[in-house]
Amino acid sequence: MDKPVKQDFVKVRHRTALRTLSYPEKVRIVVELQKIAVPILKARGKAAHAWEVTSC
Amino acid sequence: MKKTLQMLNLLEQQGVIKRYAIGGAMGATFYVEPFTTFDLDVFVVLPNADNAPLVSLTPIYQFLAARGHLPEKECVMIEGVPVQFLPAYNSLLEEALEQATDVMYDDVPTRVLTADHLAAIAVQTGRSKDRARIPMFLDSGALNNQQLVAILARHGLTERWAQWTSQ
Repeated sequence: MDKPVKQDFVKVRHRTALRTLSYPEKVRIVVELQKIAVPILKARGKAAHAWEVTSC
Repeated sequence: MKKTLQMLNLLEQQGVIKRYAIGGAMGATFYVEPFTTFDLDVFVVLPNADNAPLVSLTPIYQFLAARGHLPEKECVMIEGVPVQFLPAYNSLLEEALEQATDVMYDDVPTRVLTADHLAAIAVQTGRSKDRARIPMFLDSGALNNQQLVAILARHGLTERWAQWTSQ
């Protein structure tokens, strides 16, 4: 029973850390998520491209 | 992104728009953990919008096109970011824009809708992706319960909010 509780705690802590990042840092992560999602969406025939920002 | 926000500020400084604020998924991202989205929703109040029978985004598009930022589907590409301009078309959006929060993006000033208004707009819009954002807002601790309840009541959204949060 201990293990799931510990995992939940780690997950909550991780999500809290993500929430408290600065806005520019969050935008940088969004762009990284876009880069991961684009090939998947393209394979499904959906047009998508990651933001072409030189700096966030 | 900084350059995109600078261009939005220029639109406001030059009087092409009266006021803007970031909403949608990128607005939500200000308060919650980052998640995938592909455009930047920008709500705008247009000059003389009160008197105009028909709202037109043409002045925005012309201003941006003159600076090399061209339309692409429902967005305008501004410095690599597809920006969707959404006029404040109802009283909830007008209120949300009026009460939007001034924030700094590094050294660039910008404006984001409050978490309470973003949640209320999600309830009003009512799509599945809007609904998925509600637990994120609830978990974030960014909502001001008293303010949110008042907003929902003012705009007739209390019942749907109760439905969404009771399941």
